[in-house]
Amino acid sequence: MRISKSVSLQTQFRIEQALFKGLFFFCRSIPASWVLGVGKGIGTLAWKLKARRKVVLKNLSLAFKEKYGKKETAEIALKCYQHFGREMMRVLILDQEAKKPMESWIDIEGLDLLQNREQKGGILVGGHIGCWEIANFVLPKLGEEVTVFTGTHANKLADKWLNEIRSKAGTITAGAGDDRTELFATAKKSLVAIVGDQSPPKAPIMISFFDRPTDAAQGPALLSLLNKVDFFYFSCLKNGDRMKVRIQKVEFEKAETRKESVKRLTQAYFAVLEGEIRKHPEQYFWMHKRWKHSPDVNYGEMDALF
Amino acid sequence: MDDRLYQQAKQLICETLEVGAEELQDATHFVDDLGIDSILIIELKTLFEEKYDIAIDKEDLKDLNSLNDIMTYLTERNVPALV
Repeated sequence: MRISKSVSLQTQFRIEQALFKGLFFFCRSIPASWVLGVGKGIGTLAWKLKARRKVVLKNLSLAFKEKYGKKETAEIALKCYQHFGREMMRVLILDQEAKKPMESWIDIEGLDLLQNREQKGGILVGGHIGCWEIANFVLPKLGEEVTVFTGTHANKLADKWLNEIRSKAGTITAGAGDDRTELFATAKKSLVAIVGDQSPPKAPIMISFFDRPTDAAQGPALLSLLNKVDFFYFSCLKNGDRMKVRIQKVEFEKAETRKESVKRLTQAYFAVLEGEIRKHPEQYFWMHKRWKHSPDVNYGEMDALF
Repeated sequence: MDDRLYQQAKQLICETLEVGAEELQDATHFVDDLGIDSILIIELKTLFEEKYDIAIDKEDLKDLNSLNDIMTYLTERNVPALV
């Protein structure tokens, strides 16, 4: 029984990978603007099919409380679906897009902060906002050696394929199952990039995110504090027809204990992220249950709300 | 079990993980009971290696989840207490 289940899962993964590869090659045969247009259409379709719609609306109401009415919230949500449909498709052509001169489509703010850092190592932490995959392509072009710590998908074949695309751009990828001893040592001598805003599987700390107790990973702050390297916030947002990369050093007041310093640094990072989300709510990935571990949030009550 | 080694190991763990001696029982699981991130376990590994002049294999690290585990590991390898 277990063997047949495993075989069928493998078959499913192979089919998924074949579809992914097919889509990948198809996207190369049509203009980039069409690819992005198709992505926006997929996003609109996902919204109309109500895929995770309740989660998105609930998250938006949890984050912004009374700031937006029902209609405005729905408009932000639709834009969010369209944004991620488009950015998902952009990933498939990102290696081609990256061949264009960077200044023709990307503006970078705060690059000097990264280039003038005192230590060779550093931690770059982004969030699920904008198009975070662009980090894989931008940073190596700036002459920086970057190891990107990626989440691992259940479909290992798709993971491998995606990591191959990333490594073609010049980044080194390390997954959740990889040796963290290496990652720890790497952060001392070069940049380690992490998307650090999701619920951690283990050992969370509680911080405030949109005025709500939220579980957060301590790993990025620990990597920075133990290795005594700077902690930078990184984002890449869609700005009209261009992309805007922003790098900001995350400042915080060091505490007497490392535990408290980890909390303060993580809180400072989330505050920067929150500020950016408040300006561009349609570019944040609201599709996951970000507050599922928060004591005052019950995603089961969504039906009553919408 | 070498009591001096036990006290030294416990102190090093408490200092590194910033936990009180009363919080750290022999079987207390670093991650599940104390909420310690795996990055900090790597720091702990480095400190034990430096202090006792040993090399802890990456594979062994996965099994070092409590004071008990560390004491068993050190004892099996005849690591002496520091004078």
